[in-house]
Amino acid sequence: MSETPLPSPDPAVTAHLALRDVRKRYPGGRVALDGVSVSVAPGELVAVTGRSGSGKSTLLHVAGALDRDFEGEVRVLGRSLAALSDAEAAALRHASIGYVFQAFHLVASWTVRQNVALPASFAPAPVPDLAARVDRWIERVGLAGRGDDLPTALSGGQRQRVAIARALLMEPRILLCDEPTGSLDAETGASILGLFESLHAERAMTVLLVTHEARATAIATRVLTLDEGRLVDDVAQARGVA
Amino acid sequence: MRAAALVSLVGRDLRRSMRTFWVAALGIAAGVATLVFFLGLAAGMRAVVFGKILPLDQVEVIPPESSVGSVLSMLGARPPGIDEAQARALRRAEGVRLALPRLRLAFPTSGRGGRAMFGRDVGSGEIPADGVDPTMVRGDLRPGADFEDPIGRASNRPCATDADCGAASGEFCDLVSLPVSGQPRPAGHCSPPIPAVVSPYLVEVFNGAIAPAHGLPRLGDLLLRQAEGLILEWDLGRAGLGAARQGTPRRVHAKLVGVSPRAMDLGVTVPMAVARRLNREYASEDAATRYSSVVVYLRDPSRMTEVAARVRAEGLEVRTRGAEQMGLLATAVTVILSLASVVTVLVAALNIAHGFAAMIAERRGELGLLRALGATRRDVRLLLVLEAAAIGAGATALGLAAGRAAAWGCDVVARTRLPDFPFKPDTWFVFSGRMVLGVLLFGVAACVLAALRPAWRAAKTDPAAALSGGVG
Ligand SMILES: Nc1ncnc2c1ncn2[C@@H]1O[C@H](COP(=O)(O)OP(=O)(O)OP(=O)(O)O)[C@@H](O)[C@H]1O
Ligand SMILES: [Mg+2]
Repeated sequence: MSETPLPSPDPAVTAHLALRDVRKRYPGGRVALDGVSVSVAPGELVAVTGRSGSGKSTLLHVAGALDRDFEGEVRVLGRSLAALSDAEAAALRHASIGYVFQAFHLVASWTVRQNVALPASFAPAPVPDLAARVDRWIERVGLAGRGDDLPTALSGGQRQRVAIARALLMEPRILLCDEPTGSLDAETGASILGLFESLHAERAMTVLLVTHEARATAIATRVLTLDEGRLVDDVAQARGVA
Repeated sequence: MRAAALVSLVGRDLRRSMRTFWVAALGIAAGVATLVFFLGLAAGMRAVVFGKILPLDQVEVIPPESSVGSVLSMLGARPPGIDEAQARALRRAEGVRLALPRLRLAFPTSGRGGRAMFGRDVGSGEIPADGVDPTMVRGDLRPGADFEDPIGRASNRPCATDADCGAASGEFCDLVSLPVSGQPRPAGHCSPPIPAVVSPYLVEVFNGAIAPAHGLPRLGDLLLRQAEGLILEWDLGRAGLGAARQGTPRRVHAKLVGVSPRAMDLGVTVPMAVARRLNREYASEDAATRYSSVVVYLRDPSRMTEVAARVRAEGLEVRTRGAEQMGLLATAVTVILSLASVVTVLVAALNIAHGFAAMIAERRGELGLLRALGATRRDVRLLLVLEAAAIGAGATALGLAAGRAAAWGCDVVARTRLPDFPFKPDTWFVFSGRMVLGVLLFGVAACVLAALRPAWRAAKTDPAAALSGGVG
C-alpha cells in the first residue's frame, strides 16, 4: 500500500492539524467554539473530552473540513481550509482524512465489501487492486469472511468495524473519530478502542478521538478538554495513564 | 468523480430507490402512455385526412364563379373554362410541380357493369366523367393496358350483340342509338372499349358504403386485379336527369384499366382525346377545348396560400374542399389531448420531485458521508440528477411501450368490431421516430427538472450537519 503523497509537501509543516483562534457560531447565534488554538503533531493520538454541548463535535467537523463556515484559521497538513475550493476540500477529505462517527452510516442494502469500497468511487484514478485492498482491511478490522454479509446481519460493534475499515481504505494520515464507542456496550467499546490503539501504533496516524469515556482517554497521548467552546485543558500523557 | 464510478454508484442506488419511486414512476409511465397514444392517433388521423381524403399538396383550380360566367355567356362572352394558355401559365408558375388539366364531360351519361365480377350489374343513373392527359395516369395502369382513344383501332364490323364481335377480338358491340323496349334493337358496330380509370377514393367509397349496403364483395387488392375485365356499358347523351343538347344518345363500352389518384373522385376518368371528341359530339366546341379545371400539384404543401394567390391573380379560383379547416380542427384536437397528457406527466414529475425530496431527507446522513469520503457538491448533484434521468428514462420507456400496446389494441378492436366505412384505415396511429424520441426526451427532462431542486439542496447541505445524530 503506497503512502498518499502530501497535498503540499511543505518541509516547514510540523503540525498535521493547526487551529488558530477558531470561532464557530451556529446560525441560531450559539457560539460552539470560542477562540480555540491548538496544534496536533504527526502521530499524536489526541482525546477530546468535555461536557455535552461543550463543542467537541464542532471542533472535529471544523478540523476535518466538514464544516468550513468558521472564523480564524485551520490548517490541515499545512493547507489553509479557507483557501480551498469545494473540489479541493473534497479531494483533501478523500485522500488525507478518515472519519468514524457514533452513527455508522452504512448503506443497509450494500454488502460489507461494497460499503468498505465506497471511498474508492471518489478517487481521481481507479484504485489498483481494489478488491484485495478491501479484503485486507476487512480482515484487519477482524471481519474476515464477512465481506458478503449485509450490515443488518452484523452486531453494533461489527458495524463500527466496517465503518473503520471504510475510513482507512484510502490510508489517510489523519483519522477523526466522534464518539466511536458511544452506541456500543462497554465490552464491545473496549475492543474497538483496542483496535484504534493498535492501528495507531502500526500506521503512525494522527488521530483525534472525541469521547467522554475515561477508558478512551486512557489510550491517548494527549488529552484536550473543552468547556463552553473554550479549550480549558491540554495535557500530554504517557500511554496507559488513566 | 470518474464517470465509471458515478455510473456504478447510480446503478446501485437505482435498485434501492425504485422501492420509493415505483408509484411515481408508474404515474410518469401513465402520462407518457396517454401522450404517445394521442400524439400517434393525431398523426394517424392527419395521415388519413390529408393523405387520402384531402391531400394537402394539391389544389384544384377552377374557372371563376359560374353565375358570372352565365351572365357573360348571355352577353355573348365565352362560357367559363380554362384555356390552354392559362393552363400553360399555371404549369410554369413558381412552386407548381405539375398542373393537370381536366375536361369534364359536359352532357349526361349513365351506365352499368360488373356482371362478371358481382354476378349482376351495378349501375348508376348518373355517371360523371372527365378526361385527362394519358401521361398523367400511365404509372397507375395495370401491365399491358394503354390509355388512348380506341376509335382509330375499331374494326367497325356490324353486330347485334357483343358475342358477334368475338371474345378474342376484345371488341364490344357499340350501338348507334339507345335500345327502347318494344322496338327492334338498334344496329351496332364492333369497337374496343374506352379505357377508364377510377380513383382510390371511389374504391374506398364503394368498399365502405356501397358494397356493404348492396351485399357486394369489397374490392381488395386481389379483386381489383381481377377487375381487369370490368366492363361498363355506357350510355352517352342520356341519363336519369336529362339529355344532351345535341347529338344522338348511343351506347359505348368502357373498360376499367387502373386505379389512379389522378382520376376524378366520384366518376370515371377517360383519355383526354375521348373527352374532347364526345364533348364536341354532345355539347359544344368550347366544351371540347376549354378545360373545366386544372389540378395543381405543389412542390411544398406549406406554400398553398402563395400558390392560391398566384392562381387568383390569373383570374381563376381555387377549390379548397375545407382542407384548411380540417387541418385546424385536427391540430386543435391534437393540442388539447396532448396538453392533457403533458399535464399528466407533469403531475407525475411533481410526484417524483416530492419523492426525491423525501428520499434525500431519508438519505441525508448517507449523502453527508459521501461528501466526507470525497464527493464534491457537483458529484452529489450529478448522482441525484442521473438517478432521476434513469428513473425518467425507464418510466418513459414503459409508458411508450404501454401507449403503443394500447394503440395496437385499439387497431385490433377497430378492425374486428367496427363496420367498414369509407377511408377506414388499417391503422389509426402513426408513430414516427422523431415523436418517440421527443416523448422520451420529454419524460426524462420532466424527471430531471423535478429532481433539480432537491438535488441542489442536498448538495448544499453541510456534511457536518448531515452526519451528526442518528444511529444507522
Ligand atoms: N447544527 C447546529 N445548529 C445550532 N447549534 C448547534 C448545532 N450543532 C451544535 N450546536 C450547538 O453547539 C454547541 C456545541 O455542540 P457540539 O455538538 O459540538 O457539542 P458536543 O461537545 O459534541 O456535545 P455531545 O457530547 O453532546 O455530542 C451545543 O450547544 C449545540 O447545541
Ligand atoms: Mg458531539
